[in-house]
Amino acid sequence: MSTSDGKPIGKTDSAEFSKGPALADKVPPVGGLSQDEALKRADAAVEAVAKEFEGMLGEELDEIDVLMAAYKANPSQANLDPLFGRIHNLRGQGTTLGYPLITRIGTSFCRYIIDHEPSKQVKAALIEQHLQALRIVLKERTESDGDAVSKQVAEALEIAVDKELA
Amino acid sequence: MSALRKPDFRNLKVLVVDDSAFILRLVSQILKSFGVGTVARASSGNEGYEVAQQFEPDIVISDWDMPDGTGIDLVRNLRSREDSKCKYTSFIMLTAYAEISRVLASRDLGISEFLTKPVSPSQIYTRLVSLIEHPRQFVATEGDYFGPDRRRLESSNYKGEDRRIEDPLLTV
Repeated sequence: MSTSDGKPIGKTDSAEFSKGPALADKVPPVGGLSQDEALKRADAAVEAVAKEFEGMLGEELDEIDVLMAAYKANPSQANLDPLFGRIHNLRGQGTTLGYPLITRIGTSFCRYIIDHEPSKQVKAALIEQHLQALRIVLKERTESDGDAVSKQVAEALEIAVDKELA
Repeated sequence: MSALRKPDFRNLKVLVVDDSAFILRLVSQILKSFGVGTVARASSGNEGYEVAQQFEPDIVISDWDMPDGTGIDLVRNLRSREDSKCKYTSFIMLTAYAEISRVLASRDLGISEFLTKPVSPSQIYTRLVSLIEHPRQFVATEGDYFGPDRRRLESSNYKGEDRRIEDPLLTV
């Protein structure tokens, strides 16, 4: 099998191979923790960071509100990007730190921003509803240790985003 | 079953790069819990490159989307810049983006592993062990790729032509 100029297909794709990093030389197979021990310690570490997260979440949402106010005053891409970045980060942290609904609401927000028709203006009201939902998650958790309302709100937001993207 | 019964990570140096202070703290704490000896942190791709030059990590774990130099910029710079001291450093992309296009794009820039947020300690542990137990050779192609060999499967049923002249699967 050959191309029109007679060269064998694929045979021109030459490559040079070299040895990759030998991490095994630096990590003896014994002398450390078993997998179970390591994961138990890691879970405890995650729990400690999660407690800090709860304390900082309110401040984080305050800062996001400031970004939202800037976006409402001037709904430009330059003002949307930092807002997206902050909520995108929250989305990535939520579940790991014990807040799966933050991840869920963040995912709904990110989906709306990423998938919306570029020719259409992003609806500030829908973004604000997502921010309010994040507040509800925090409020519900700190005041009642439950999440029944937050779940309903998250579901409603997902439906609203579905409609917008349809 | 892993041959690493009780892996001793104390000589391992890991650089964590993320613009979220929480993720930096979280991943660093997880790594320290595993017994990783030294963990350095940076909050952007550009800072990550500078820290990597000084720290010379064995593994970089980096976010994708950061304001001052992305994770993609970082892996590209580590693999291709003339002055890089970390051309062969293992690189784990840790991102909330899970689209296949992103996985493929980062693979084609030379990452070693891809992890999506939210991440759990066991996922990080599994990736670390995988990098240690299954090291991949590096390949430089005429098409400008430099990084870990992207072919992971060695299928005994493959009936097509070998695509490379120096195919290591034929020589080992």
